[in-house]
Amino acid sequence: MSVEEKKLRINDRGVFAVRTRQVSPKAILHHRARLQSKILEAREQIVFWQKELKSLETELGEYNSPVVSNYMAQMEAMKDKAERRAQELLREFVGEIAYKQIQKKGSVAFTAKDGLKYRVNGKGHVFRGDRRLCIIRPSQLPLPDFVIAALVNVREQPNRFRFRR
Amino acid sequence: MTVKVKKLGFEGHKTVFLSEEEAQEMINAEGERYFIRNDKTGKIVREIKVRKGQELTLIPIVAGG
Repeated sequence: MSVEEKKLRINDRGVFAVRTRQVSPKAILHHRARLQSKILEAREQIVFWQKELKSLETELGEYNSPVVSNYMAQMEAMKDKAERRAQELLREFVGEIAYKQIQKKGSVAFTAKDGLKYRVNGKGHVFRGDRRLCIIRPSQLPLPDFVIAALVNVREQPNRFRFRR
Repeated sequence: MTVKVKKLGFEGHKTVFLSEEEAQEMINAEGERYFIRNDKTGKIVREIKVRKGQELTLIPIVAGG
């Protein structure tokens, strides 16, 4: 059985409750075993995290490689080219006057098959009156191509689209 | 004389020149997902009998909320 002592120590930094405990040889052995086990566990964790770190660094290295950077630059250039071509197509599709109107006023009006007036802006948002319709933009479709798609879809089948909430 | 088909899609539109049969095949296969615009008349149609010299644009049907 261990003997425990409690004392109060007062110094210029404050009042401290200090507890001291006499440890038996058996308790020392237990404590040693527990510390050894914790050290082993910590070593295993170090090995795991070192491997993890190495793996992350290798992966990052691959992502930073010139091949990947070139690919990204290539994709960016393709996207820019597609965007320019899409602008040209939009101009050709809606006509010079409507295209300039979109650029200048931000939107152009059109009448759909339900006989109602709509307007589409340069972001492909279509409005009936002041309310915007909910149209889902397919990913990676360049914006000007989406403007064409939104315009044609609403003009041809206006009833498919509801107002956004 | 070929058929000029512009197809709007991922990574921008693509223009291809196809034979009458190839263009008809393409329209038959993908027509359900696209509006077809006859570029010479400016009209939008859902079905078309492709003829030589035609210029068509395929515009994707987008989903609404």
